[in-house]
Amino acid sequence: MGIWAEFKKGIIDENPIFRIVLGLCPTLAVSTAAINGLSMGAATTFVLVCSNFIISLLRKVIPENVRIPAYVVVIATFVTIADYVMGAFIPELHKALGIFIPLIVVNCIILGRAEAFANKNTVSLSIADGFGMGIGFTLSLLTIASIREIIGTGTIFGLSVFGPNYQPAIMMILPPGGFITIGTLLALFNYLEARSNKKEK
Amino acid sequence: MKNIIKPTIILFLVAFFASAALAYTFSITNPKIQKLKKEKEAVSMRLIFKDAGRFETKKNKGLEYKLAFDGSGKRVGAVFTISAKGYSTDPIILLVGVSDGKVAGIDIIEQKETPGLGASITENWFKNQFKNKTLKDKIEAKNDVDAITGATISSRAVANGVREALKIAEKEGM
Repeated sequence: MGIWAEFKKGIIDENPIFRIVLGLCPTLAVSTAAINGLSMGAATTFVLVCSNFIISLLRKVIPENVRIPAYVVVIATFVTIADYVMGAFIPELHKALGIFIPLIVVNCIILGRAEAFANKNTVSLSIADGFGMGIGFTLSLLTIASIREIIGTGTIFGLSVFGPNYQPAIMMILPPGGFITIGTLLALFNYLEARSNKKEK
Repeated sequence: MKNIIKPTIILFLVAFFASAALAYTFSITNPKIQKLKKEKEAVSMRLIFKDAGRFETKKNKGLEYKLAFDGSGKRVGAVFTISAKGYSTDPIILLVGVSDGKVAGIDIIEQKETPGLGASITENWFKNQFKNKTLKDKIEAKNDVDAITGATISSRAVANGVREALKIAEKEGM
């Protein structure tokens, strides 16, 4: 597959949340507002691209029996860099994401792509994979967070949608709302894929 | 033996370069982060003492705290920075404003408690409970003040911190 194909697959066909179903913990926690979803997606994409790049670059150098500690050090380093940079230059977003920035280290998508792709493919393909997965993750987060924010607070990116008389369904920004939104979207995408598979047959 | 040497060297190099990158990033971002922390503290202190126009640092044998003065130069109180062990391994840092042995107000400036549970100590209803408390009060979570449901340890940490601040204030004559 070429660079464009490796990039494109992460957005729909192999979307990390809705197709590969990885990284649901931070997804549930952070998708309470569109801006949080976007910021988390951007930070995760940064870490994903950087870690895929380094791990692919060193794929012939790191011995297989110590690859996991080596990968975790690389990933944790980029997450910490992202944490410091956000804390210094975008403090409000840093505070909003709070404890979930360090938790990017244990986002399964990052170690998952390192193991499944970056350690077996060239640097340019790995960077494309990282970008694709990161953007797919961000778009999914944005979708989920927008739904939860609009129904749960009546705003999108902080701007009022329904006016001051809207009674928000606060449940949507609490954990049950997260599960319901993600489950419903997952069912929808499964249905759409089954239908497109049936059409091809 | 040879099977151990190469992985060890590689891991060492990975860790070495990771540390170098982190040290560099830290040296650039930390000054800015510290500056933002000081600004946030100043905002918190103004929330606690609304009439205060000026704050002065006072040092007394290794103890450091801030004195608050209003526009006419009269001292309105003191602000103590207390570190309290909550649920997380990182301590809760709270500012306690004391005026004549009474709590003027508190603010949580740093905490890494559980989001949705212990993190609720930053909510106004919880912080406002401590206003006007003195050492004559018990200042105990679930007793004298309401604790946060499912976050007893975090609530207790803040209550203990407030009590500690009042004790220090008494010793300093605030």
